[in-house]
Amino acid sequence: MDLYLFLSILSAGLCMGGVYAMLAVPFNFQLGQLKVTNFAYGNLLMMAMYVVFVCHDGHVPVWGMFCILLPCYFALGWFLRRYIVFTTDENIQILLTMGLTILIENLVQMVWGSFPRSLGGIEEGMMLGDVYVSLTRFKLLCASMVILGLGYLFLQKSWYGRCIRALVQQPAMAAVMGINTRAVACMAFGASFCYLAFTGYSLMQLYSVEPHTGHSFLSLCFLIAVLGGIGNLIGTVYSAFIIGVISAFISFYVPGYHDPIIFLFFIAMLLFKPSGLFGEA
Amino acid sequence: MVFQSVIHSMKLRDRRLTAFFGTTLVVLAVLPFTGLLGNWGTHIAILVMLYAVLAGAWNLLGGYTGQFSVGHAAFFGIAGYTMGILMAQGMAGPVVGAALGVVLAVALAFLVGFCTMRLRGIFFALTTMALAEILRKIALYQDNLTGGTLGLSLVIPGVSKNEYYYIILALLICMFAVLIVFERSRFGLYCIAIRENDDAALATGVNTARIKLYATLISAFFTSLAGAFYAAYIGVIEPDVVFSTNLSIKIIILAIIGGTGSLVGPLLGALVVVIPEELIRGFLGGTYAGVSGIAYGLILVVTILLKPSGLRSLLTFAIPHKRD
Repeated sequence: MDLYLFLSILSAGLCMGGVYAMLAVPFNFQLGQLKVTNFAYGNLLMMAMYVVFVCHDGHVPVWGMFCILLPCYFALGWFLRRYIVFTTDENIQILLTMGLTILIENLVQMVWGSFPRSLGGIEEGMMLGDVYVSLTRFKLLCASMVILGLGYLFLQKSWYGRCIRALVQQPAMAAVMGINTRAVACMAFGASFCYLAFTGYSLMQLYSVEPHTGHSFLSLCFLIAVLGGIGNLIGTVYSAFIIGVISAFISFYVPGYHDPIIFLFFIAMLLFKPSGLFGEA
Repeated sequence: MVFQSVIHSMKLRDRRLTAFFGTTLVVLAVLPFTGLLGNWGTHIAILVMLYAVLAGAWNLLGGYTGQFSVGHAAFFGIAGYTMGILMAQGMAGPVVGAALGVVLAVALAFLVGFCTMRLRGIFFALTTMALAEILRKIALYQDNLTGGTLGLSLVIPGVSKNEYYYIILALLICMFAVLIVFERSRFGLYCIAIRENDDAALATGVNTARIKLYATLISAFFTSLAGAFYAAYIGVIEPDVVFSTNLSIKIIILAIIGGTGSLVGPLLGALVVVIPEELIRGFLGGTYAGVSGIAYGLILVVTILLKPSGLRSLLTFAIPHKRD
């Protein structure tokens, strides 16, 4: 097989890996660390994509769109964690977020209909020698890495990040140490929603959106999160790249069987190593 | 004689439930003869019973065993599509097609159950959801076999609506009979133990993985029967209807609102949710069809937050339960 073809597919896979990392890391953070099973993750992402579409249609500049999107999503996340999803029982969390999911899906369907919407942009590409690299995806990869990196630095180095980590590792002791666990948990949850909003923006550049796309993204990001290890954020980034590359090769050689193969891979992993490739945090 | 002793040995709470249950089933059995139901009324009643079967089947796995499957549509659709494909290719009649559909669905449930029987919570929920999504996509893309987006149509001549009504009523009674036996059996006790505390059940010697597998199989069996019935009755199956996550979630909503872990919950849920939805769809239709979905979401969230045991607790108000 042609080396340049291989490198092109590899570059496409790596760039998608970046986007997938941005997709799966907040989910893993919510699921593994904040211990909130967010079944509505896919549909919240879908709603963010619709907001991006509406802002694009209304010719709102990108910074304006983020000024609307990020605070709204932060407030939404904070509200959800504070008043609705505060139980620790996993099944109840699933049910609550499931109610939210249907709510969002039907609301979106009533407002915008079932017709797929997209930004209609053309994907820019460039040729590095004989290798084709998609510029749009590459820019998204860089943006994702920067934002995730900043988040990681915040968690590791800053005082508030240390509060969040304490809360995640030992909630009872964190409370004893004087950390307002509820407030910190709500803030962290809201912050992960901001990441979710940015992921919506990234995905809107690449795909079209319709009311049912939320579920496929949820399946995908759950797969990546489990592969990387629940709660293991760095592992999730690695597994996102792995899945991105595998996905690119599958899409090129056997298109149409993409989802079943990934699903089989997922089942195999659940059978043999449920703690993920990189172990749980 | 046996019947009397069974009734007397039940607690007051159970007697109330049995009374409600028995009354509803008798009413349902007699309803078509009274002529109160027109064509549309019979259709709504059939849908109520269909959803009651679906919710009851889900309840066995979700309410009694605590394994929330968000992909029950997979078993529903597989039976319908098997039946449809076999009939479209001219290989089998409706009954054989339905039987093969059920066999295939149970085989699928065995595979899925085998892979997921050691999983719990979100793992199980999302794996089952992913399964349903995969089947939906396969059904969408394999046009030559499944008719793609337009789906398949099966026409079974010579079966009137009343006959469909009694078929689904028989299925409903069968399923509830199985559930009654299940609830009072040792197997049912194991399932409830798994729901309450998986690890404790395992420590007590319950083979949790195998029990979960069996529960998945029984649940899939009834769901696939309902799927075959749906395919025969409606006559058209599309991937976005029979394999959709919306259907799976709707089944869960019915079971939750009615009350999980109880016999009568799914029936209550189906009565309370399906009838208004069909009425709304009949009178408003079109764009307002989304209103029922929004209402579902809100009702589900409110039910879980305020009254997690659902509507069935209204019937058991005599005896307080610890878990409410």
